[in-house]
Amino acid sequence: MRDIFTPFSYWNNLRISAKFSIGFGILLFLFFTMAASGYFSLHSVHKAERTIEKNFEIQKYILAMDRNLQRAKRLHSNFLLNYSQIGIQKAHEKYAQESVREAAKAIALSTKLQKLLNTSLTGSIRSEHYVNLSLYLATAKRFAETSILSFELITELATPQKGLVDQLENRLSALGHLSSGIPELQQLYNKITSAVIQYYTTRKRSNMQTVANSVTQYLEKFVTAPEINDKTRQELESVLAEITSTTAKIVSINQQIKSVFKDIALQENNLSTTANTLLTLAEHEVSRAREKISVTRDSTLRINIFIFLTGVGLALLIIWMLHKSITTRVLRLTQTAKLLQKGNLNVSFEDNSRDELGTLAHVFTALTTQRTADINRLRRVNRDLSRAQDFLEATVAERTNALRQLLELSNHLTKTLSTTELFRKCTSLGKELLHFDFSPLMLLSPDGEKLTVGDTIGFPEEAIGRTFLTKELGLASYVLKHKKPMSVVDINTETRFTIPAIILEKEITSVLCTPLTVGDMVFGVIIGHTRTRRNFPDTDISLYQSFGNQAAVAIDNALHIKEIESSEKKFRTFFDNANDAIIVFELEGTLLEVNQVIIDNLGYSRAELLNLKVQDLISPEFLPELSSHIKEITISGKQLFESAQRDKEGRATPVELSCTLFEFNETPAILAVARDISERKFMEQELIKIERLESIGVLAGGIAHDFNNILASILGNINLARLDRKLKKETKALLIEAENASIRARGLTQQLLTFARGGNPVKEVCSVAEIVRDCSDFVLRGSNISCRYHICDDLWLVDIDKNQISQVVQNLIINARHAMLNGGEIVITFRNSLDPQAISPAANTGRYIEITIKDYGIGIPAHIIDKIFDPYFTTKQEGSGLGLAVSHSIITKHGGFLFAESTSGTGTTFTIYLPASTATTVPESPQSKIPGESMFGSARIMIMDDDPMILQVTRAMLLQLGYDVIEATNGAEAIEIYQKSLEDNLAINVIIMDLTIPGGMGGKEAVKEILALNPAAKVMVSSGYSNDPVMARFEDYGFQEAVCKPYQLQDLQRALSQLLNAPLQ
Amino acid sequence: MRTDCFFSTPLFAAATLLLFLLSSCENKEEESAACDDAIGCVEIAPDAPVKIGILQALSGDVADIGLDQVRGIELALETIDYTILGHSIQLQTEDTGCTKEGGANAVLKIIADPDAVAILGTTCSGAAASAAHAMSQAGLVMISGNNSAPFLTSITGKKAPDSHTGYFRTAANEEIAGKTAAIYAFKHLKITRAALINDGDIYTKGLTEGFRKSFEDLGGEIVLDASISKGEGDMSPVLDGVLLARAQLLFFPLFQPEGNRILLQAKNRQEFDDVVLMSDGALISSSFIEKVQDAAKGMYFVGPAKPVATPSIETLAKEYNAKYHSAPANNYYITAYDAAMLLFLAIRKSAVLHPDNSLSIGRQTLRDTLYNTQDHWGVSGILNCDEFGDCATPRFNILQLTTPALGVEGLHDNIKLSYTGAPTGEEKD
Repeated sequence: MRDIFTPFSYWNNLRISAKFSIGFGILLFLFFTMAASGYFSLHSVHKAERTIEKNFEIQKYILAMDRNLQRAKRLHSNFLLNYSQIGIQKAHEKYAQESVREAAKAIALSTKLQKLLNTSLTGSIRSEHYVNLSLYLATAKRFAETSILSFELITELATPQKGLVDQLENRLSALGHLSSGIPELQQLYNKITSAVIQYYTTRKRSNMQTVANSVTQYLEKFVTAPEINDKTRQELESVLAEITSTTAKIVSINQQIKSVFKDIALQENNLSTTANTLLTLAEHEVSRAREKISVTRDSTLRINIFIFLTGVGLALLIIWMLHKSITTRVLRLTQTAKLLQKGNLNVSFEDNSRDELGTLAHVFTALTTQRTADINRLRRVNRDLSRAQDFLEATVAERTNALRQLLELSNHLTKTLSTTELFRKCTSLGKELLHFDFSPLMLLSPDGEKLTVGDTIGFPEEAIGRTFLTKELGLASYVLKHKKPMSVVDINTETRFTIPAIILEKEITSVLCTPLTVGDMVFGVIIGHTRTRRNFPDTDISLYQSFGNQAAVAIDNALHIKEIESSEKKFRTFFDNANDAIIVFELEGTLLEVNQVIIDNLGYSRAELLNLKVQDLISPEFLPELSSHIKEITISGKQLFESAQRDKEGRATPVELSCTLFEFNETPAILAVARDISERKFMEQELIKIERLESIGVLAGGIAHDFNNILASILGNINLARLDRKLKKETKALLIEAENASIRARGLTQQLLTFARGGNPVKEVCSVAEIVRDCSDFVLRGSNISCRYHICDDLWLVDIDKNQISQVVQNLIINARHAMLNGGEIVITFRNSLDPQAISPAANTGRYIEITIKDYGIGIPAHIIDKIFDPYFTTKQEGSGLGLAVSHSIITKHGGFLFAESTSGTGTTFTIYLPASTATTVPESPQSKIPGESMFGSARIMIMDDDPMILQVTRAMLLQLGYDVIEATNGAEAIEIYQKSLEDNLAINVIIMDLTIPGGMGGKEAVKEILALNPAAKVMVSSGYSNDPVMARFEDYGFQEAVCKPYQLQDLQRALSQLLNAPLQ
Repeated sequence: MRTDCFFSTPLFAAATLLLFLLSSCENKEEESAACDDAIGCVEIAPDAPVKIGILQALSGDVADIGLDQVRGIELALETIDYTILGHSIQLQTEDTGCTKEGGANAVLKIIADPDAVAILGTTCSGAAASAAHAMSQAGLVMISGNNSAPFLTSITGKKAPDSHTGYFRTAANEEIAGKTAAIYAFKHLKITRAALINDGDIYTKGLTEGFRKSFEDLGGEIVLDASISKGEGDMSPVLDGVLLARAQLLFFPLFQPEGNRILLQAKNRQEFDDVVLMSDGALISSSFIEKVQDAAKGMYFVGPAKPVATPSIETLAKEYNAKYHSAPANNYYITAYDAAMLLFLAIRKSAVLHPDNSLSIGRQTLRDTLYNTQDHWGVSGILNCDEFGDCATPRFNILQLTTPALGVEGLHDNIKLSYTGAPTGEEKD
């Protein structure tokens, strides 16, 4: 279609988007124009309305201001009119104050109005308003000032009594009084008063001038008037002066009032003019604003009508143009497309325009042409595709079958766990898969140097397990190296690698080999051989490779499972055969795993335990701490703490728990190893007991030592006192009692000392049964209790301190006797014991003899049996409580054990274990020394002791015995004295030395010095510790004799006799 | 730009939006430049006039004096061509009525306009007292070519009660006028008993007070000091008082018509034949002479000395004649001219002309400029403004009217005594 008009052709050639843009752009422009005009007009109207509003407000203010001011003026006028009638005060209250308030309101309103003008109006209008309002405000303020001034003036004038008018009247009255009786003065007085009255009427200053003139005349008259005395004259002068000044003030005030009234009149003029001007301005503004609104409304209406009509026209034009240039052509194009769709390939769309539709038309025509050609080509292609499809389907079927086989193989392989079976399956399935004649499977050694035949089909069975060097198997090593399958079509022509002989023997021609790979790791190969020449296609190689991968996975899994099984077995062995109980539990306590030890310890079955929580296995008293321990474990990872386990019967056993946090089946859990520490606890208790006894012993030893010294003095003095022949019988008896008591006390201290220091037993080989029998018989003599002895044959001998063991037996028998108040029998049994561990875990290996002393007394209550060996523990009223403690100490010192068992109401059994001696016979005891006769007065004895009491009593004893006595307080002094005696040739025959001198040289050290001076010196050691090693073997330390403190006179005498009579060495 | 792109792009929308934004903007008033004047500045827009107020007595019996003041101002405006620094001068004229309240109300109208720069006025000192107070508080300046009451500036060198900052005058302080009269009365006329009449106005009271002080200092006795009210018609009581007081001289510095009435009623009484009558400059007026004629013959006046005849005065007189087609009624138009010229010059010096032809006039700057006026060659003489606002050198003459027909000129020529300078200044016959 040819365009008729050039402009239309231009339009036609425009892009569609441009056409739409132009069209809608124009419409949009019109829309905006309408909107803009609407906006502007609204804006203008709004401004005008605001102006009207403001001006109405201004008018309101102005009218309000004016009202207030008018009211103020009215009130002012009322004040002036009424003050003379109602009084100044009332007039003030009723009119003046209200007038001022109204004026103030007007002023306030004008101030507000000023602010309103500042914020609301602009430009010249504001300026004009401002000027007028400023004038109004200033005038209103002036009105307020002048009205207040007028009130003040009038008040000054008219206040009753104090006002000038009343003052004048008062003075005039006084003048009249003074003038009475003098006609001339009276006349003048009348003139004055009438002038005053006239002034009040006319308010003319001239009237007051008349008053002044009359006063002048009055003054001239009364000066000369003889009737007036001095006093009256003075009074008159004063009154006239006051009248003059008062009238002058009245005139002045009245002048001011007049001026004020004139001022107010002028203000009135200003105010009314200004108010009217303001109102006029406001009205003018309102009318201007209304006019503006009207003009704006009209303009807007016209503009909008114009725009509307223009818009409609333009819109129609645009629609027509768009229809012509776009819609019509689109419809034509659509019809042509429909014809084409129906199969009419000869249609075409002619359009020469250069817009999108023109382009579309060209494209459409081109497409139609092309379509025809394409259809013919498609027919040819379709035929080719059918043929290809048939071929493809055949190939797919074949492949599908192969994959199915592979899947079946995979299923077989994964179900087989035994490696032997698996290998066999691999080789047989591999053979079957690609129809091989031979199918070996070989596994690579970890070092990669060797290949071992896992299985083979076709080759002899003996080959299974055979190992080849990898390098000898060319193809396999190649495949292993490159980690990919390899085929050989004709092995006879293969030159890349050597061919094993067996291959040639079997007349193998073609080979396909694939690696057994898991991940990156190759661990073997599987090979397929054929006798016939075969060219393996890629599909076969790929299939065989997939098979090889499947086989590799299955073999790898099988190998791993075997490893895991082996590992599990080892673990179970370690777990169940540990020495300690092992449990695994979750953080909240549920048991996950337990070993056999804990099953045996607690008496539960495994299944029962796995249903319990760790809290069920802990003794209740330790449960509160358990959760804090578990919390600590979760923080630090490990904890070692003591607790107590509870078995099925509820019995508690102390354990030490070593806990570790770890992951068990990917869950946080605690591994706890529980070690039985009951023996350790027992040993700890024993150690505590021993330490307690030792500390008490040290204390007791110290006390006993000091007590011994005191006893020595007491006993010695008693001894000496008894020698007095003049003593009365009764006195002697008393001394004997005192002596006996001292001896008992000595025994007690000995026990204490023994307990404290233990006193190494002075052992000798003997038969313990004899000692026990002798002691028991001795203790039970005269009682209603008998002893029955059971002594085993060949009871072993023991190495014991007879005295000490006797003491022990004595204590035990005495206790038995006290428990059997009604008499009875004590059974004492002796036997050999070969099982030291049965005695006590602390027992050494070796032999012991066991002595049981069983009574059938009241028994010992269970709650105190653990305390019976504590020092000073006793249930009896008499007794020191040291007997069993000392006994335990003695037995322990002997390396033995002392136990007690008792059942309340049934009896008590004490069991003593003593290490057996290796000797088989009892050695004969050495001959005791034969004491010689005592010598009196022929010896010089030196006594060395730091205790003055010992020195004194020993001196007295020695003197009693007739010896000469020399004293020394310590070893050094004794040595000095002895040395001097040697030099002076005054022999000291015997030296008695205290074993230990605190803070100085004791006898143990001094004896060496003495013997160095004189090897023949006779030195006796004295000590309270009878069991001290020095006292026990005094000869070994250089002493010749020993005497125990406290000693009696005869003890000292016997010792000295032996010493003095002993042959010289 | 392609049309299709233009209409479809956001530019189109943005342009439209911009139109709206521009249209919604209101014109903002231009902000005025910063003014650092202590009182503030009058900002005059480029085409706006300089506003000056005129407060003169334009009604009543002193209207001719007020009118003369206005004419003097108009002559000054013509001299500067009604323009200052390119801006026209707008006058606002208000009538004070020669009363205190009139001045107080009239000044409000002027100071209501914040753009008013200055005031030329007043005619009467009484009006000036109240007007100057309001003017000063509003920050303006006011220059009078006619006020002479000492109360408006200084008395004996000290600030007077009605002295206000910003008030100036080119008319002489009449502080010494009373003294001049007293000296003449006592020394020359040998008067020892004098009576004083004032009308309560600060001007007339100032003169009578000045006379009293000097006369008493000289040894005279003031036998009567009375007041009459403005507008009062019957002067007989006060004249009776004068006679009763046996005054030898009556000094009555009143305005018309009160002064007229005193004179005429006194002359009607024989008793006043021997009483010397003396008034002041307020009655040195052709209208007074025309009204009282021979009744004033022999009467004395104390008034400011006529300015020395200079070419300026002659030129000014010619201009007056040419403009108003009549001879001046008195010389007060000269001081009015000087007052206006002084103001215009001070405005020119104080104003800051901006590049856009707007003006800024600092109010304090304008005051300072006037206070610093030194050796200004006015038509009436050299003007030096002191700290109280007095710019003219006071010189008073005692005049006697011997030939009423010669009018004011003849009166001015009949000088009986001249007194110049400070209150202790020289006297000269």
